[in-house]
Amino acid sequence: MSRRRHRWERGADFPIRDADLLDEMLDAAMPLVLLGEGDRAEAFDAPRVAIVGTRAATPMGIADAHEIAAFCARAGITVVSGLAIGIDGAAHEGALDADGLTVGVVATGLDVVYPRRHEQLYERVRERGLIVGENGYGTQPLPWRFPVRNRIIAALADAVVVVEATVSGGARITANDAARFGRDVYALPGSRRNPAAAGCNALLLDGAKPLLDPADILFALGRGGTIAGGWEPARPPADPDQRAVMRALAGDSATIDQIEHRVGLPPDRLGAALRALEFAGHVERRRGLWWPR
Amino acid sequence: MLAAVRSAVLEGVDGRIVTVEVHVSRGLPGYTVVGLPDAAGRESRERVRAALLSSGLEYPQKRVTVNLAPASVRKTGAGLELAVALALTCAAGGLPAGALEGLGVLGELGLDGTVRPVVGAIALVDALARVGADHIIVPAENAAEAALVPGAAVRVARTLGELHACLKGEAAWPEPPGPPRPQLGEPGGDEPLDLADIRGLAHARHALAVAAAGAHHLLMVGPPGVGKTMLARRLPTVLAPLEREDALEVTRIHSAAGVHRGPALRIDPPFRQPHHSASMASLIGGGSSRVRPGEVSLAHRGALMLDELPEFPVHALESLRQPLEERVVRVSRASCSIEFPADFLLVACANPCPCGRDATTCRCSDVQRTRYARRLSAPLLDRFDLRVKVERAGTEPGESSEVVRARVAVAVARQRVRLHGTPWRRNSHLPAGALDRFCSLSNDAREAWLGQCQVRGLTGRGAARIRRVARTLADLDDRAEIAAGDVDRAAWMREDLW
Repeated sequence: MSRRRHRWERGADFPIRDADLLDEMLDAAMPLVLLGEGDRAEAFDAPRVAIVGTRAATPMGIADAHEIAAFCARAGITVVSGLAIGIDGAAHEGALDADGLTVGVVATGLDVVYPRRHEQLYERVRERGLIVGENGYGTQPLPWRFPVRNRIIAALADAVVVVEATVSGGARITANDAARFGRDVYALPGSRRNPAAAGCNALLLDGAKPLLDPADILFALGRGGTIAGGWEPARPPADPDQRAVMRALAGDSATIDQIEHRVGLPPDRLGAALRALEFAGHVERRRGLWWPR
Repeated sequence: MLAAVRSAVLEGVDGRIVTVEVHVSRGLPGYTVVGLPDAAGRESRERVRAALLSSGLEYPQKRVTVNLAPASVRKTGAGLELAVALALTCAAGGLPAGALEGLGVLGELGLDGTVRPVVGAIALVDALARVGADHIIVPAENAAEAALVPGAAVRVARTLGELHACLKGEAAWPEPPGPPRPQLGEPGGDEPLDLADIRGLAHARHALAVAAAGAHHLLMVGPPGVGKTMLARRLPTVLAPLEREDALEVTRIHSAAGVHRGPALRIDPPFRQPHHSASMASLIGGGSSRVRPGEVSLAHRGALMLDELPEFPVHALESLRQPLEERVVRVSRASCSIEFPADFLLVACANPCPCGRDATTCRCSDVQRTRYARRLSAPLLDRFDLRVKVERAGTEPGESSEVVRARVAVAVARQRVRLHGTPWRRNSHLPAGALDRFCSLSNDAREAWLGQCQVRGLTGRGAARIRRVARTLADLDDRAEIAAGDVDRAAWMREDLW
């Protein structure tokens, strides 16, 4: 299915604001021409937030990215990301599921789908947003293109949210570029035991702002005021056994053995508590582990 | 002059009757074998001749034609030689006519006239006994094995000369050995393994007991060094011993495959652990001249352990799907199609990613992980009733093998009583249609079951698997009723590991 094609040159309506100023800030200058495909060119008219992160995301990170993106979409903010698997994909999905606008910035030609399993996501983004890139049709995914592409994500966004990142991952490059451009950078703090949170914690040390509520993003964009759908503080379950299990999980994943070991309940009571938590959606099992939600 | 005697060759793990006919006539001295012999059969001429001469018997300077009937069946191995030598002697007049009447003869010959053992004696003797052979002559070394076959009158042959004398009535038959004592465990093993060697890992231990009790296939995934392989290796210490018919069947298969050690009946369940370089033919059976049983058949009524499951060749793994489902394996070749029994418990271990480090030091990219996990197809993974993640947890010493074995024995006994008179032996064998009859759920348990199915988005097949495992969990606890907790545990023992 062919979608509308776009071509933006440096000028008043170039999507990257003040591109001429940004040219000098990094080794690679901003593109002279940006190419795009998609039916919703107005995505660039709204304020934009980039939501990025690692491909090796945890289920908790996926859920966070999805929620933040949906929140932004409901607030009329365009979600920008890189169409990768993991956090990026969840961010696009979140925006699409909330009927919002989203922009995917690719490191390949606009006709090359990478990763292949995101073929459907590409199509949804084309339909309800834009896919943009600086490379000509047919450009193949090469490893070095992705960090270079990240500067466009950073430049397009008014603020960058890093949900989960490894210490040396591409999401940190995006965050560093954004910081140089003077954009607000938010990072979600995580456990030191979670390798997918190490990059975020390092960013916080470097001066990124901790994102404790998605509503903070609205302030960063100068759109103060309250919008429903921020994060409620997690309400612990009433049952003492269930509370003990949630405490034992401590915001991290664990095997049933580890939970049993930390909680010290007899097996039948632990089993009942786990079942109640699972049925109520407080915990979920993935990849053989129990995750809090 | 013509003489004939019955013998047998192996076809798969069964014996097939072969009639050996020898015709001796005037003409140029010569020796011809017809009736699809293999190289060993064609070479029999030299061995038969030398053995006869060494035993002081006559080798006729005449035209000798040996026919192996039925002519259309390919005969492999040298187990027909003794039969050829006796028939030849009889045809040449060295034995009274009719001396071979009603006999079944098995054995290979040495040049000095000694009778050498054959592979698969149990199956061969069984086949001869079924067609009503009055006496079956077997090599001395196979005598104990042959004695296991019910209703077979076995006579022992040590050398061709002695046998000749016995047949002529000039000497008494050697005493056949008494029935052998049952054999437990591999002789001369290392230090005995015990589950008490392993600390922590309560969930995986529990899953191992469930696997042993209900014959539910088990997959354990976790970082190296956490104890998956140690656990799996200790599975034989908790398996229930074989019942007599099963023991006979297992011994017969092992004998036919040539891996049966010692003459005794094997009563401990087999435990096979092929290396991950195993080919498809070695796993499910195959071979060009004679189709041999593979590891899945050698593990019949026992367990097959596949360590490092994703390292096995993909087509070898996929070939396991059919035996896992049907508990028999059909090996088809251009010349024949053979069905081997393959009712085994599969216990497999795998690392979560190719590098095999723990999550903090793993440098595997997402693509590498996905590719690694994809080596195990969804239909294959689906056949594991038990899929558990093994992570380091706890250091408390666990139960010893003896304690677990006792619980497994209770569960096995319960299943035997419940499934008596049905074609199924263990809970995992129950078809979906029989679940309501044998795995009935109380209201509580049904609610838990429906809840688990909903949370997990389970289809009919997965839901049925959970129910079978819940039945085994209750059996292990010696309870008639499936509790809601059993259903939960069963669901938690079947994780999506990737």
